[in-house]
Amino acid sequence: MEVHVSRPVLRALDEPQVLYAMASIQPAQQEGEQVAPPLNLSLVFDRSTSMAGERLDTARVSAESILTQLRPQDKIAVVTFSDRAEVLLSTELTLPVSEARQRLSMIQASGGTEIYQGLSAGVNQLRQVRHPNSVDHVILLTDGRTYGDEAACLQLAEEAAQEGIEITAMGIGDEWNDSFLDSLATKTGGQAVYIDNIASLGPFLQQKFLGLGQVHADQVVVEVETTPGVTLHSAFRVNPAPMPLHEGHMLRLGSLFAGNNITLLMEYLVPPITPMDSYEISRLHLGAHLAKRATNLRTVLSLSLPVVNEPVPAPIPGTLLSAVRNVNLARLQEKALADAQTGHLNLATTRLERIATRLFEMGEPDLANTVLGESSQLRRTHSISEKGKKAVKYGTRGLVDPKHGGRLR
Amino acid sequence: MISCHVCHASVYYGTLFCPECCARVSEDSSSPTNALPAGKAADFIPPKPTESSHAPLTSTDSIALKVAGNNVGIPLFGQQEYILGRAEKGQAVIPDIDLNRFGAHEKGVSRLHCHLRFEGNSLLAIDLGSANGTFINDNRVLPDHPAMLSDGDILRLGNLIIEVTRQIGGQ
Repeated sequence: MEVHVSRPVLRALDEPQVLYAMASIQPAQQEGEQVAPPLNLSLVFDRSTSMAGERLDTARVSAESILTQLRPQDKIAVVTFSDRAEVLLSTELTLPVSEARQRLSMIQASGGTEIYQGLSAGVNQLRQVRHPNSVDHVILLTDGRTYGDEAACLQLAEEAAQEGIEITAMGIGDEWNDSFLDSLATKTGGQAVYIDNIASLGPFLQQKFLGLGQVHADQVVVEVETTPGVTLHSAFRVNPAPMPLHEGHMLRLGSLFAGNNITLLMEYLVPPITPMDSYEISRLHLGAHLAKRATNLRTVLSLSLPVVNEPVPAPIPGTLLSAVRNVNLARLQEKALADAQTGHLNLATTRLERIATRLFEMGEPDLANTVLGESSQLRRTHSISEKGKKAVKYGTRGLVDPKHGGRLR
Repeated sequence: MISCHVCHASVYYGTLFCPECCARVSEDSSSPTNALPAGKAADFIPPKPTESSHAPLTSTDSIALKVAGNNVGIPLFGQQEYILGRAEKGQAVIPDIDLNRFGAHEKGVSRLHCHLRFEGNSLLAIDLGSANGTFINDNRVLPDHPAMLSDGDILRLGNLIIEVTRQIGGQ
């Protein structure tokens, strides 16, 4: 783990000051030729009435394609749900591909959306086969809102996280509840994905499947211990899959994929301080599950800086600067959408317009126009569309890491 | 706290981008405004009409700024408006009147602190969202609310005290 900070020193001030720290977690250099860890994958598909047609067909075809690529050590479950769940393929069964396909072809769309039913069956499938060297992952696909069981789902996600199970939550179309899927995924270090165009589902699942088969580490966690008086003001996973992390001091970061880093941006608020040689702002306790070696890694890093009277000019690393800028935009957008929801329309439109101004400056005219469009719609109709909301949210979030953006078109 | 030059939101020292408008906060670490210790910086005083026994200054007057502890006057001559502040290396916009040689940094003057402008027949002072404030005779001048200056007024930028005077024997 490597940490870059926005300033080489803190200043002796009698007011609070902000310090940004960007932690980058890299795979160990010498991995050697080791067998890839087994992947236990649970695909949980919504089969409510609204999924009928292209949505469910694409999901089925994607699952079939994954079936034929499983390695000998992998296990897969396919669960469908409406107001109840069916386990079509179980992690405990070995079936000939033709029969597995046959079972998938029987998926019929009908009924409502009760995510807990599907999620709980999907997680249980993994519980039955997980062991110390497996990578355990649930991919949830839904196009609707679940009613009344959100709290149960979040509780289940919490338990799953503690058992080392990660959840990727994918929303198709415009009707699903983005803040709910965000929380569900964040709790486990996973990712929430907006599938704007169903054609992008297959490639995304394929990429996810290949990545999961080759993880260097999963269950990557950074526990941020702050010196008394220091607050962790915010934390955001920059890469991969940009997501705000709002779960207190325990930051679940998900999986470390081959050829990739996990990058985490933290914003600290440091209390008034006097000059000293070294001030410890925080300790970062890094934990990770090294599936290949069936071990857990734990290490700690101290973030300490000298405190001086005069500022020391120093260049700010470009990656840190652009990450702070993009995360700032993503946060301002969250505030604007919250304003719109609570009826503070003037504030919401002002904030959206400010975001659009920055986006134009940054050379993102498409997204800027989307944001402006939503702002003027908000002015006219006093509400923001579900589609617009998601386009703004996952679009700005995607700026943070264009490769693994939140919106798939 | 420092001030965002675009939306004037107050943000903590060290902030890189304004959380309210996402503009780059210009008071970067290379030369932030020196935040004055609490108690030293005058508390917020609601503006009230400047009570001055002196005659308002006009554009036909020959006017000079005298920094406290310094005898040299800075004439306001030849321009319709003046920005007061501190010039720093690499700064895109520098003030017309650089107060660095008067210890401006230590006294909490922002890089672009205050705007003096002749409007009609009056000389106006406008605060530019400075971190430590602009005051006329200890009345705070709010950003976007110009205040009129009169002969003998004390203009204070943070803790830097400037007397605004009609020059004796002026042109």
